[in-house]
Amino acid sequence: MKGTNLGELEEIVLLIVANLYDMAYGVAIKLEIEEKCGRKITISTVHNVLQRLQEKGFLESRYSDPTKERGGKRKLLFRVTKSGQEALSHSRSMRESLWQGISELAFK
Amino acid sequence: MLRKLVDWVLLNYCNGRLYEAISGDLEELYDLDVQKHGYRKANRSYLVNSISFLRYHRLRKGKTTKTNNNMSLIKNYVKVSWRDLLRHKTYTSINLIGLVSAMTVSLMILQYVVYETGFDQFHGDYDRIFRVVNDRYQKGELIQHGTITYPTVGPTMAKDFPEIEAYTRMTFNSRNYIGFEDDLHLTEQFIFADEHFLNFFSFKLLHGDPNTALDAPFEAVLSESFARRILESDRDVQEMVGKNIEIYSTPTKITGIVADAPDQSHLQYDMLLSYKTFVDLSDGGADTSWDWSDFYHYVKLKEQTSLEGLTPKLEEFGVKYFKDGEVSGSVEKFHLQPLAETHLDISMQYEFGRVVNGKIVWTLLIISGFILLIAWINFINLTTSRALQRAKEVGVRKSIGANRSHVVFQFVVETLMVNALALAVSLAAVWLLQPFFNQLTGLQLDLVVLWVSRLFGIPFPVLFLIVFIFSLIVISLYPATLLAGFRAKDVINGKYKMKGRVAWLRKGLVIFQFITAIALINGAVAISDQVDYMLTKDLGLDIDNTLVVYGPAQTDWDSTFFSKVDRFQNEVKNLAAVNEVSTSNRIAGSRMGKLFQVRNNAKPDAENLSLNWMGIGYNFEQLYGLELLEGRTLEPTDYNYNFGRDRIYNLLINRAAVEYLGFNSVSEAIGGVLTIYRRQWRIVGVVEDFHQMTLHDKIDPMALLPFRDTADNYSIKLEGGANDLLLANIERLYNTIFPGNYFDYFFLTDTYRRYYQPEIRLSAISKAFTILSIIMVILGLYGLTTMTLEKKVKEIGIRKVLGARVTQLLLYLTKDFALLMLIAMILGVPLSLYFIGLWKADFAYSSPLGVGSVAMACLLILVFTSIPILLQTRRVASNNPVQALRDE
Repeated sequence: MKGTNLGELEEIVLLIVANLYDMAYGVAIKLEIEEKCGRKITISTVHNVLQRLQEKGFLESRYSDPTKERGGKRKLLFRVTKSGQEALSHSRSMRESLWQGISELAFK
Repeated sequence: MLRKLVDWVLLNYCNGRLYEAISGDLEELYDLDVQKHGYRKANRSYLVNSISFLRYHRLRKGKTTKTNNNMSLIKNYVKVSWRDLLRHKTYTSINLIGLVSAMTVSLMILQYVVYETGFDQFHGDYDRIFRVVNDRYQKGELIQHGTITYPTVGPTMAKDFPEIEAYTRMTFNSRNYIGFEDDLHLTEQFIFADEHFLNFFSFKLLHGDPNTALDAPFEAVLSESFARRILESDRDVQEMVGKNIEIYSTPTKITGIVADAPDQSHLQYDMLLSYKTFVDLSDGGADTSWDWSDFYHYVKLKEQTSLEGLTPKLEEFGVKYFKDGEVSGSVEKFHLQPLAETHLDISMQYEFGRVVNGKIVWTLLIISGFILLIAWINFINLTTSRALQRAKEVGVRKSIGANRSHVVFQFVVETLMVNALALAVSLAAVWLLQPFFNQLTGLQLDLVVLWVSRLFGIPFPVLFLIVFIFSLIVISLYPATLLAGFRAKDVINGKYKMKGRVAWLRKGLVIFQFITAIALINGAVAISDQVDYMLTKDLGLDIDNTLVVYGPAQTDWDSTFFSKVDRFQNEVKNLAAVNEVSTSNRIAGSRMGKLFQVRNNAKPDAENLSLNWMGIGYNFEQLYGLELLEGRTLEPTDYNYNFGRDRIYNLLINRAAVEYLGFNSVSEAIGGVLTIYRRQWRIVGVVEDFHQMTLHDKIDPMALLPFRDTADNYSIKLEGGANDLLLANIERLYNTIFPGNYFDYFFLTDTYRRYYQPEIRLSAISKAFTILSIIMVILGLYGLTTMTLEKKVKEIGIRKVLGARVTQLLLYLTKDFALLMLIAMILGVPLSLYFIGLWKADFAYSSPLGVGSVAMACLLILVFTSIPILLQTRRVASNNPVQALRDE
């Protein structure tokens, strides 16, 4: 397995999953990304990222009860794991420390 | 359907645990899309979304991160095949040339076939629409099989049969002039269409209200292009709505503009005129008559209604309303013809729509299939004959661990690759050659036709790919299994050879190719014979140097009319280079009207008979060179303009009518009296049979009646060819004598040529087919002999050393092929004669089949195919044997 660092899309998906808590499944994540981030994303890509995150151990998943919509098919619900949470906060603190290192003159 | 298929693919593709989640998500997105964008778009994005899943290995079955080994295997196959193709350039080019030319031609023919078979399917509910057609019998014999029926038929059926949801009735008029803003405009064809027409069919009304546009008498809906033609400038056609045009000397209101009928519509029109106009013009007859048949009806059945259920009712309908011939003079049987089949049926008489010979369309489809087969047989033959050369490769693959199915798979991939390449090149070639092909067919086709059409109800691209790939797998399996049969052990030991069975199969395939080529060449010869025959046969009617001028339909039928006609006739006749002038209501080549209630007075109890009829003016018989058998021709005194029932009129009949009417001889017929629609007619002359129609139709019993009318066309017999001065003079006379009319003319020989256009085109196409198939057979044989000879180099060397001469060797080496050719001829000639016979059944008169031309065809193919074989063989046979034997 490749390293455990987070790609940009991976980070977004991870955050969205955390945001949606217990309602995080393919379509919901796709729609949320499109709404919150204002970018288009195909459902297949969402699934691909979710799998990758699961392989890295940042997500865990379980099937919901059968629903009436979706042709009676169950939803695969995701939740952020402990190590997922750590990865997110690691990434956040790394960013913050980088931001702090920028002198005010840099953007002038 | 589509979604089920996609789902099935996903089920097999996706990781088992993920499948349900993915499939559910797709479903949910689909529902969202349906709400937002509708079904069409939702379907499309469903497809795109699902396909996009195939990009990700991670979501696949099996171990999620493992890359697929087969992929690299296939890459290797492609690479090896590619190298092999490049190394054997002759072999590759023979294969590719054959495949590309066959595919190019097949694609073109397919364009044509899907175009012709796709007619009238733009109408919504086209599968529920039928045309009412009609068979008429007298004395138990079919005398008419046609499209025209009585005006009452449609409305009465709609009233009697609950299965009928809607109907429309119409009648056609082929040529007329309309006035608009002081100008006359020619309309080539317009339809008197009833008030249901616009809602019944899916022709698009651009301006106006489809519910009311054709409701009242003297209302017209113009086609868009006709409206533009009339306006002649960039004025908007919409402004014409509400204005008047003048037709039949009556102001007629434009109530709408309709889009032109699509190309693939058997109904075509410049203009729709309300049916009630025609009812008015005919004093109501066009609404209520039970014996005037000039009318066309279309009905739409309710959903889930079977045609079979309606058939017995149609039978009853004919009996109930026509009472065994009492009403209309013949026993009437009605049928419903499915709209989608209309265009492919040429058997109907009085056809107004665009029709082509469906038999020929399907035959072309079959022939193009055969041409593909020839190309693929070449492919099989060349591949198997090269099998030995690739044995080593197979041996090596097997000893490294490939099993049989791997090798088979490799060659299937190779076949697919070569054919895909050929297909790509062919598509480009079709695109390049399109203008020539369009010229040949007279149609405006392009590759888009293939993309959007359906064949047998399946979208064409899908059907094509399925058939294409399936055929490829079939044809690749044989050489592939053959190659896979080499055993690694034998190959490495250097002991391997082909099995005997192979040669037999190859011979069988070659025979099949020969048969196809022979059949095609015979067909082409027969078709071109028939075309020559039709264009040169003596019709019994002299159509050379005959100019036809359209009649002055705008001139009133009044007391001065005939003096005008006489004056025009005389003055034109006085022009230099004009021999004769006459009038007639039908022109040679066009179908005549029928008289259904004809009785011979000498046989009072006889049943009704029917005669074709034509009204002819003065000197018609002389102008067309009709041969008078007995009696006299018509004279000016035979023409009566007061048409009462109290007197006897004179007429002519043709030879075919003599026996049909019950006379024992031509001389007995002279003076005989007929009752035709309750009027008495005396036969004053009998003329020899002549072909009023083309040679497709047999000569029917007919009557020539002394009639002259405003709409009659003028036939003008010239001494030689026409010149501009002469035409200008005729036009000047025409405009002086018939002011307000539109001068237009044509030459009879041109019309005949046009009538035979389908056959002329078919002849060109079949020649192209033949040449192509011969080229492919030659290519195949060339390749095959090369391969065979390569294997025999040593044998030939030894034979030469032992004293064989070149001629002996030639004989020895070519006798196999000669034998194959002989077998092919024995089988192919009768087969092709059989099919030619079927084709010729369409013609009442066809050229006798020359044994000479069949023999010629066989000889031709023999020569063409032997040349490459002989040349090749000679080259090898005359080599120095030392070279052949040295490299031991």
